[in-house]
Amino acid sequence: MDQEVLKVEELCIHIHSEDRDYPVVEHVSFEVLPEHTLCIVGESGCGKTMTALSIMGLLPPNASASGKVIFKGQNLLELEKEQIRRIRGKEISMVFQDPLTSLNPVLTIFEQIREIFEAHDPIPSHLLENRVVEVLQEVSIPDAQHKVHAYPHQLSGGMRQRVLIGMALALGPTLVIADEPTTALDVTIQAEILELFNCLKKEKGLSAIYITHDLSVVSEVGDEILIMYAGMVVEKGPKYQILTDPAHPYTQGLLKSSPSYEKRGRPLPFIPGNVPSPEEKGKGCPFYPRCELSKRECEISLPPITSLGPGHVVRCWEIRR
Amino acid sequence: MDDRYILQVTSLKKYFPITRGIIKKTVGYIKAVDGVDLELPKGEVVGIVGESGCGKSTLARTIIRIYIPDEGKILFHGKDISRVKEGDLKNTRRKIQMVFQDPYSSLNPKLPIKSTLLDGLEKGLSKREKMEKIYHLLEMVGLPPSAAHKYPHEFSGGQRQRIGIARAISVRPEVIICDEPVSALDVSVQAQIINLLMKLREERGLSYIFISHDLNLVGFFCNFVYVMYRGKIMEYARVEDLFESPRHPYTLMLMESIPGKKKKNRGNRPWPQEMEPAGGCLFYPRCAFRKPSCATEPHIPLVEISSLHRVRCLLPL
Repeated sequence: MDQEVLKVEELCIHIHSEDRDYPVVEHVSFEVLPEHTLCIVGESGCGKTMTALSIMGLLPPNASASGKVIFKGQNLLELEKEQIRRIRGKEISMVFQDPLTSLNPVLTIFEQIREIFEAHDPIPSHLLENRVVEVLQEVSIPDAQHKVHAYPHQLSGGMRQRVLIGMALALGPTLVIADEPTTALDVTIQAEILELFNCLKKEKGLSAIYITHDLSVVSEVGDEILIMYAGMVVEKGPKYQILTDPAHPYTQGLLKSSPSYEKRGRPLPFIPGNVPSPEEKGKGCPFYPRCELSKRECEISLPPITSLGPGHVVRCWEIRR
Repeated sequence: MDDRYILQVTSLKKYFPITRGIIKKTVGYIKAVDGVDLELPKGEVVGIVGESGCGKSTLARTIIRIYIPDEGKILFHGKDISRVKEGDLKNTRRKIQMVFQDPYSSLNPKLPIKSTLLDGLEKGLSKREKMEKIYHLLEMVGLPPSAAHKYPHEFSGGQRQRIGIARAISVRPEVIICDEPVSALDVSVQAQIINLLMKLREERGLSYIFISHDLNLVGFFCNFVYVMYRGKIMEYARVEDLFESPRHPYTLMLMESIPGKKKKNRGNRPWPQEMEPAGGCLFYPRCAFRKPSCATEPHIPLVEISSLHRVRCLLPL
């Protein structure tokens, strides 16, 4: 049971531009345990989506990945296009942020779900319609028999996101990657989608990677948390530990700076400065220019990963001392 | 008119016609703002929350007269500005400024920051005095003087929002309407902008209307909150009352949707079968506490149930 579903080791991703290469993901390692959800948390540009795309074999043409992504004994980064195509969608599937742009506007929901079966798992045409309706019923879409013939624009944002989750689960994958699936939705709809996600995950025994920028969402999903900053893992550990007793100054800053009713009346603690762009990064800790604990060595060399307890690791010189 | 209020809006309506066919025949209306009363006490922060499409941005844009209201009054210092002609609005426009969600599309990409800020300064200053004022404005929003000579694309999102705020305060306004001012920003930068808005409020005695879908933010920043649903105010209260004892089922639903909050009484929410209620309460299709009478009651008023707490519900919680 302890055998991990996915193991990522020393993943590095470089983007090639006209004049030079720059790293967007550096030395990222993590594993996803069976029936667990790993949350990858970070701000825009921290490399969380790139990490997910590399697992799916969907990196843009000007990007290249090195390291290992081990799924069922094979390194996904070394597979041929055709081999990864067979895994993608069937064994590892993905739910994207924006349900409107990830659905084809000129095809009905039925036609889009049919394509999934045609590509991976052909079923006789007289059974097809029933199977597609089942896919929608599984994600609690009311009146699925009729909705199946609707076009994406005829559905609300929450319904479209349900369709995408349904499509991701249609072929019974082992691992689902959800990239900010609720960011474009209202809070009320977000609550419904999170509930559905948790419910289906439990029912089907799925493992998942949930990508988000919102630490408050993490409290609703997820077992482990991975905090990324400027392409690197700065902290990783069990959810409870990270949310209540974070070790890295960046994680602490993120938690302290999120506003809430309970914190009203006082100025909000904040992290000074901005997220560095990939061109600006130096050799040392990527967070040092914004860190209040930073010392000389933080600027010069990258802190190694330090273990703080079972499953809890952090990349910081100050804590290593 | 009550002079505690710097801005007072009564029964404001803004309908958008739905047109069909080649001759654009009007077949109906979208009631984006449908009889809204709103008061902004001097020096306070009033929040407007609601889901997307509830009319909160239209309300803001109608208050500053980007849209012309169909009905109702907008009293600014007791003077109705809802019918004032465009040419005579200029002075009022200076006093009520707006900060938009996306600072990039609201700055002119071809002008350096100093030109953007120059427009707002009073006439008759020497060139040197103007530059000094610009540096002072930049300092107030936490930007270095060198920022004056740069162009919008050279800044990060958070810095651009600071420029948006500097521009808004350059004309010495009394009211600033913030429409989702931090939702486009990174989490670690959001807090910086919120603190800046708090600081400016203290230093300059500003009053804010703060529009957001983020209840955590509204709970942190606002003193009074209006909850809006489909063009109407559903509940109004002091932030403490609203967060500790919401009385409208819709407000409760919003509160319980905040991730990480303990869910107490979410109940079995019925699926909205008919999105368009035939009459009665607008929230009826989604309400977990509804009774048959809610669907038929033709007019549900906004009732004051205790001091500074109003609810539009037949069966308040």
